[in-house]
Amino acid sequence: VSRLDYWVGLIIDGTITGCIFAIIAMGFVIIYRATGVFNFAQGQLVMVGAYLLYQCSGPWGLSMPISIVLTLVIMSIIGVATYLLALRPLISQPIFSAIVVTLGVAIIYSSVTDFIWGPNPLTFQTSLDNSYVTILNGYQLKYFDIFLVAFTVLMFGIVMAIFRYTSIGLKMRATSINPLLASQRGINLTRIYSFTWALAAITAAVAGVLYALSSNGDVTENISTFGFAAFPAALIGGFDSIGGSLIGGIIVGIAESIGTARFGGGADELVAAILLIAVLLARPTGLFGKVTVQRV
Amino acid sequence: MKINIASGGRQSRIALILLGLVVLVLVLSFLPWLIPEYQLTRLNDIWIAILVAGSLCLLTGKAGQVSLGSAAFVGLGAYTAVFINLEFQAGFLVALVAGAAVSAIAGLLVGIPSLRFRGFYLALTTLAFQFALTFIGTDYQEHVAAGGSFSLGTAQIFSLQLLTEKSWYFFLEIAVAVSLFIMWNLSRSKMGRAWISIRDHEIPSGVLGIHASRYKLAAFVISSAFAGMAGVITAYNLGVVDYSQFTIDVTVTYVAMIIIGGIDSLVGAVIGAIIVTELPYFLQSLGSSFGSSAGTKVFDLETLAYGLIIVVFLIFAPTGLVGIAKQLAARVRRRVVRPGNASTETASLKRDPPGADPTGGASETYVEQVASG
Repeated sequence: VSRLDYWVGLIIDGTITGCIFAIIAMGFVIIYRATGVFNFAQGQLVMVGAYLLYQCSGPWGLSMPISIVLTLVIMSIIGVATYLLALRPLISQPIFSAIVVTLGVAIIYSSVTDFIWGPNPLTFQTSLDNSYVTILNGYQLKYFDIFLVAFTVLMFGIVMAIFRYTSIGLKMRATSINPLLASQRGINLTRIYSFTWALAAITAAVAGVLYALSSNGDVTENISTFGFAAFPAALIGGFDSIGGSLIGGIIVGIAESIGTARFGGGADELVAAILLIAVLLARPTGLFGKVTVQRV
Repeated sequence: MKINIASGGRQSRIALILLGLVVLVLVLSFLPWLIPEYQLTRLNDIWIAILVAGSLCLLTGKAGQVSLGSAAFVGLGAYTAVFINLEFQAGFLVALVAGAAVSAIAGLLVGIPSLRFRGFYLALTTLAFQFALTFIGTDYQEHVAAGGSFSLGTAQIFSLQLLTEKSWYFFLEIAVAVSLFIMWNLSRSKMGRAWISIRDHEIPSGVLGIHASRYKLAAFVISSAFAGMAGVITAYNLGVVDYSQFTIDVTVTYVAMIIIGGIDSLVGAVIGAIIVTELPYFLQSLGSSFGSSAGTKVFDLETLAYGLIIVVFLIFAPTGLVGIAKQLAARVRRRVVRPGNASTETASLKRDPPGADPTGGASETYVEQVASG
């Protein structure tokens, strides 16, 4: 393998994992944009999504399409329930409460997952085609990975279209700009926020499903640490930019794949942490985020 | 007449508090003889937890700076103790100073972003620090201790050796008492009032001549110094240092402590530290009373309990146990004071405005955040 091919291979690897980061980051952005809350439990939601897919397709023996649909449905219910039970009662409380409550929710997701499925990694049959095409003198690019990248782009398109062109998207944007005025115009805030959380939980589920499929049906609790890689992804893109998180996710994915290749297995978290601090110091609004000026 | 009652009440209250403190110190000092030696470990864990919770209370409760990195600061202290022991054969007292200093410097660095950010951006910065330190700790262990954990010798204070848990108990009692006294004084000093002012109204306090960035950094430095000291103490008390003692989960337990007790109050931090440290033992006994099958699930129960406690307290008792106690006291006082007396009415109103929250609505409220986001 030549030097250039080695690097291109790392970049392709990074792009593929980066797509999963991007989808997780999109979940952060959706919730942050609409409600101003940063959801620390997003990574745990991804993990729950992967475990649900395992449950549907493994022990319950449902076919893959039905399993995926069922996972998405259950996850959207979990999202709405999280909002109604944990976040909604915190309105009018300090932002610290909203931050910490999502941490508490993250713990609850983890321990309930641990309680139901146990701490050991699980595997289910994906019956997925593992064939690949060889490019670049020996880099094996799986067809599923090509699908994964294409699907990610499609999904970003769909979510951005929901925000831009649908009536509920308009209502969500209005609510995020000014909740009080929006409610005066007859927009039901609880319904909008519930929808937001459902949408974010669905994106988390999609990320979990894609990860479980791309790892051939391996499901572990480590999936939740993806949430941490998605923080810098969302930050690089800008916390209020959905499209930005696609680019942010891919940047983080590539950085992590190069980092682990050069510095060994545990380096991905460090790379994510360094990226996070670097972006926070250099440009906290990210590449595509709106620079908000606070008038004093 | 009213003034007389008020000042008389104040004096008798101070006397009562002092008396209570004396009794508390006496009881605590005799406690090691009253309970078995192996139970003392639990009490010593509580002392250390109080130290960390108190430091977090200063930073998050008083100064309003969200931090998700307290375990990392504790870990930094512990690793400093290991490092200077390995490299310079330095003992416990030197480690205490060095650990506090290193953590304080790290606190300064982590605090710098707080000059620009508030709320969750700051939470992210401290969280990044937390993850970075866990990684560096793991790496250091892999390279220096071949993946194992570090061990430390006996802590020695001049000629005094802290060999038994009992001697640790007395050392910790004194150290924590002194630390809490310093923290309490700090929180009532010019600096403490500046912190509260910055927390509640950052921009107006600038107008009043309070140098917000200086005081914020001071909060980070002081809080991390205490946490670092707690780290050195943990390291020597256990005799073992491992990165798994300083992960994000541990940070969450510290956050749970100050939330349970009442984020704004040092007394609350103490109460929270006691409850959260005792919680695993309580759950264990609860689990074993449900039979062995439930006993195996104890670990899940423990983490679940932390999560549930955090969520439930934030929703139903955001001011913590101290806040609940204050509200109850205010209710009792209102009932004792005869209704219809206008002056006492306003006095009690002044003390407890309806719906006011003793945390003072640290920084911005959720609604405002929604509005600006």
